[in-house]
Amino acid sequence: MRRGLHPKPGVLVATAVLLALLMPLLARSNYLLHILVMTEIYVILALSLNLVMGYAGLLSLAPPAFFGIGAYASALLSLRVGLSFWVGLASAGAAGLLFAVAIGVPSLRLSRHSFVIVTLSFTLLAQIVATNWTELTRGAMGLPGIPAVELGGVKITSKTGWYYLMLVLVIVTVAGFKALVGSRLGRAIVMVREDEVLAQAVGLNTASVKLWAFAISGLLGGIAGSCYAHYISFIDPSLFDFYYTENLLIMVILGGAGTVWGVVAGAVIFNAIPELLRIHPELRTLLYGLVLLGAISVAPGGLAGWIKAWRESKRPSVEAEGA
Amino acid sequence: MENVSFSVDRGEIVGLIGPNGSGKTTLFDCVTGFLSPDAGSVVFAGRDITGLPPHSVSRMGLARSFQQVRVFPRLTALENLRAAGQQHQGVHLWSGLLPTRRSRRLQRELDERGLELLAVMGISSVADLPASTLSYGQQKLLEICMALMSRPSMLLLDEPVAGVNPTLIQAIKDYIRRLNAGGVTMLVIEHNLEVVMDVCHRVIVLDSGELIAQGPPEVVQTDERVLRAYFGK
Repeated sequence: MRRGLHPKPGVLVATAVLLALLMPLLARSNYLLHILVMTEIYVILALSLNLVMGYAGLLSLAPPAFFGIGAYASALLSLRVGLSFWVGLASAGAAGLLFAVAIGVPSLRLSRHSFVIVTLSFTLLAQIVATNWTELTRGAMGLPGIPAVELGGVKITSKTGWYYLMLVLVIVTVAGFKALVGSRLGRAIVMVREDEVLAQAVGLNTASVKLWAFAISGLLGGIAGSCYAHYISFIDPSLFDFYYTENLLIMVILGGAGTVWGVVAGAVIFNAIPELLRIHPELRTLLYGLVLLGAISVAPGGLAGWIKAWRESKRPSVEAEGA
Repeated sequence: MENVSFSVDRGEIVGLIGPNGSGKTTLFDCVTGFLSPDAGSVVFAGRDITGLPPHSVSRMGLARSFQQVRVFPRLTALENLRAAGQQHQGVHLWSGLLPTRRSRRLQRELDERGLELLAVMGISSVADLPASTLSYGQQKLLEICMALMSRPSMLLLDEPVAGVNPTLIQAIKDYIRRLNAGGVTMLVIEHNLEVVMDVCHRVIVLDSGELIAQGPPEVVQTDERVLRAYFGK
């Protein structure tokens, strides 16, 4: 049934990777490279939200919290203790995971609506702590001078270097994510989204599945935060702003919640377009709101859902036979 | 519910009837762990399962269907069956993250079992269609297949023929008998008394949360309290 219009997934992936590898040659300015690196960080963060929201069907407003916790954990470990980025990265992931478990154990027992509120409160609380625990975080003054990454004795300082470092991380994350959602555990996570009562009736411990999904989301958020901290070399409590949550929601919903490539595309598109169009940040927030509203009414399945519907409309229809 | 005490023997088909609101579904929920009884106990295959969570009950081989048909709407029929079966393969949720030989074999077993059940129920043609696009009758059959993916020793069916056309009713009756002949013990809630009288070995009657009669269908049918519960004085 595949014709020229529908190339094999493998070909598409190879093209995407090749294009990604060549990107720095095309993007000649440091500014463009910076946007590319930020896009890579956002891909990881958007996947973290996607797992909980798109696959498990639980709206979490906590991704910026895990992101910020990861950023602070990694930054503090290297500034105060002198540990390397790699230890910081692992610790940031672990911190995200542990906080997700700590928040998830009580809040996932609540209704889905209450869970949303708990995750939002957690993000706000994290921001308050980061702002006021000045002995540790220097509060609103932030933490400057977070050291660069060292890889085999070479310091990665150029944006191109960062781009390729992050590309490796993104590829590993996407591949791991694909493997996860295609596995037994991934199927279990989707069962929770589709019908939690039925999932329990067919033998699934849904409480533990939800906790795992949330924990993995925390892990990814922490990792993204650590990368951000070492890349930008400065962090402050604005990391926890609701602005980031809004961006992520746009990427996941418009990309296609519950799909991998849709959300990756969403992260790329909604990082690149606004930056390239150079819209005023506040106007951008407003525009995002409008685009989101419009998209939910026109294409509720996001980009991925829209493409899928379009491809299906091109195929000969399959008639259901009555039983 | 009060004073409801009964047992179902291995290999039996027992009907559970009673007017609306008499507590039939509540009883199912208590047995399968969706509700915890305030008092009393549930014993299955010699083990006290009172208050166990639903997933543990399911893994012990006690499967159920729902009054309001339940399937995973966005998954295809076959994916529904994989989802229902994977908890019963005796492996951890985390296994199968890597495409090992073993995980492929387990996957193939799920597919084979799923396709076989669809064929038995005569709905092989819908294997790759999203469950939400199936007709009501097809969804009912799919739901029974899903319960069977665990190879249960006992099956609790909540109104298996409600809202189903006469041809399909006949087919479902046949499946119930065949499954039973294959060794599955059954407890069936059903309002269609013809079906109950036809397939059940024994009938239990509930009214306002109380057990008011039990016995062979023909005896229960003429019981005075049962008639009163159904038709008033």
